Amino acid sequence: MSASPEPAIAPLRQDLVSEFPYKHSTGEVIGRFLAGLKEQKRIWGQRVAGQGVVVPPFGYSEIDGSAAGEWVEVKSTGTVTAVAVVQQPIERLHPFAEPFAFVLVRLDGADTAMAHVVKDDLARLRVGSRVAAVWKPDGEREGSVRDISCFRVTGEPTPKAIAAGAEPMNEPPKEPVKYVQTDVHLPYHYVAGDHRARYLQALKDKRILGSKCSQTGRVLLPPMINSAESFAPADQFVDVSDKGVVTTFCIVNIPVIGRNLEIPYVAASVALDGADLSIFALIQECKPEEVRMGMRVEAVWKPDGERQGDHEDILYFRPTGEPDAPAESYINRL
Amino acid sequence: MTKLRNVAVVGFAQAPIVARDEHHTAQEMLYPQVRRALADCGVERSEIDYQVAGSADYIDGRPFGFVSALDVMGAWPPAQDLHLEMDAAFAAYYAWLRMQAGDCDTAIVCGYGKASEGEPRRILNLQLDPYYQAAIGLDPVSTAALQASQYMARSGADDRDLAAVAARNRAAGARNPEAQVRAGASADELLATPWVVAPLRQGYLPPLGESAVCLVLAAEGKAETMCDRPAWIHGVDQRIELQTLGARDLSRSVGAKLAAEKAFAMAGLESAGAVDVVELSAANPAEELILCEALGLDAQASRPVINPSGGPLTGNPLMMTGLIRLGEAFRQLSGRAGARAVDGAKRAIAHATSGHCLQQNAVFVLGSDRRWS
Repeated sequence: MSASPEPAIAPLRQDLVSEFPYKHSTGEVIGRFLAGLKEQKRIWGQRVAGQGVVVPPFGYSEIDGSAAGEWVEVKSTGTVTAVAVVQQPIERLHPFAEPFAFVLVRLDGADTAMAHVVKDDLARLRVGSRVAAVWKPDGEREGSVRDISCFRVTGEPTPKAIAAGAEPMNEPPKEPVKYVQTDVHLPYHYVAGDHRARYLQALKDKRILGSKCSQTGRVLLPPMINSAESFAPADQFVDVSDKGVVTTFCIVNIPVIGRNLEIPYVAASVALDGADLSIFALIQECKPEEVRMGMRVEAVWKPDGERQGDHEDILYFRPTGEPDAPAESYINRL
Repeated sequence: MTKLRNVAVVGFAQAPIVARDEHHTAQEMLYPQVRRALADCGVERSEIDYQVAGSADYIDGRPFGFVSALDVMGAWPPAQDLHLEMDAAFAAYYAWLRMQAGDCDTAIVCGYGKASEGEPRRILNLQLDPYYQAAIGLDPVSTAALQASQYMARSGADDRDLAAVAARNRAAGARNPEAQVRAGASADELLATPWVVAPLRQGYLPPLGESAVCLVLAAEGKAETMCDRPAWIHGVDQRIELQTLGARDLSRSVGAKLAAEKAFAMAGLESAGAVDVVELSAANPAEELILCEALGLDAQASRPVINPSGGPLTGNPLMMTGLIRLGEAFRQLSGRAGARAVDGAKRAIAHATSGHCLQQNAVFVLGSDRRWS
């Protein structure tokens, strides 16, 4: 049904790493908790309806949404309630390059557990192990949950009962942390899909391929496996011309990052002869004010031997000098 | 119980689950499945009232990719549409709700996404809060291992118990032509596989997989014309749990338990043990044991049969694993389950989940007869 009548084509792949920084506002509660780690090496929680002492705190109850009550201090020691030993840490995701463990730790005085890491003594780490916070040195703490660099196994016996003893906050940290920085790092390994692969490969030979809707005969460009309008397959490839008509355009007067063009320049939609959908195109070799709907244009290709099979193979379009096309010839091909 | 509208699963099509389809984008994988599902129901696209999908654009790294998926779902002339960034089974729940409201009589439910294009362990880190949980680098395999360790500590289940569950799924997967892992493996063999994140071994975790699926729902009156043996939805419910892992008892799934109780009540089902087949979205053996406990299932009993498809352990395409469970329940009840058919299956449970550590759960009860007369 979607099987292409064309012979198989080698997969076209592209790797790309997507990176973007976020600066998350902490708000007053998370900001104060993080400031406690940074300034004081102390761990603060909040009394919360239905949950007891919550560490780390959010300022509200996750159970019923009510506002949290008083601030209390809990101990920097606690009992492990869950263990996950990572054998092969993932670079730029996990905090260590060597095997380590994620743990949930119920700190002494807290009623909820905190997610953190244990770096050493993995062989004797288990649910019930006693652990203590290991702090980053003064001057290196920056207002992050990682200001506790990890927890260490103390070797004490597992307590019989949950330790009580949260103390009211007697000395709040001076300056709440306002932001935490997250640097998202996501590698991707794309495939183009055979339809796009054929289209891009053909550009090397100065050919432009569309695909024809099996129901309406409309030619889709770039080629798609089906018509979005008719829902019918469109698996027959057809050559379209590298000449066409400007269907709509705009004059760009502001620089765009990553596009090294002298402004003002013209970005247009061009309906190529033989295609029923327009493609985006630059119009050059004329003044911006000369560009108009209906203007006939032709592709200017990169020279032979330099085309890579990508969208840059067509450098831009330029006027052909032919008479303008009438509106009814392109009005349904925008 | 109020009388509700009888709604049935009437069609299901699924691309075989593979590690990586090098020749198609997620949308291109989906198109033939939508065509197949409609063809099986003998209807044109224009006869479908509503479309809904579950996917996540982060998975294949194409921002607003769900919009281009509309092109392959047949959204023209302008269709009623909804998209969820959850497993597509939750989208099926919304389609069912729209039918209860009388908004539509027929719907397609699509799930898609290419897990091989992104790196899910990195991507799903972003599902956690950025201050306390994502900041330490937690990923879904690690959070699943935390949950497994808490369950094992409470229940006394050990490594061998997990291996036995995995081995049973592997044996079942060998009979499912659309499963990704089709080689059986004994518990001893699985026990010998290396730890990925202890207490989870390589043999207890599915490989990365991708697919594309389309399920068709129809209300009484239409359903009978579209399918010889519709699988009627007798009951359904959906529940979510807290975001903070350390604030939950990870050794239990209170969300799945409550969703099951509500869905069973709607279905008039006395207990999970009364159905013939159960499909659970358990991506590791500890999740399966936790879910069995939540639903009140005896994992050792011969009936109901749990995950005769091989379950997510033999094929876990992100964003559609739950919808495949619903599709498998339909296959079992409608005589389309081939070599994995459960003899005389009349009632089934399908479970779906989204989020870390079974955070969100949906439970469907299906039957081969109408629920309400």
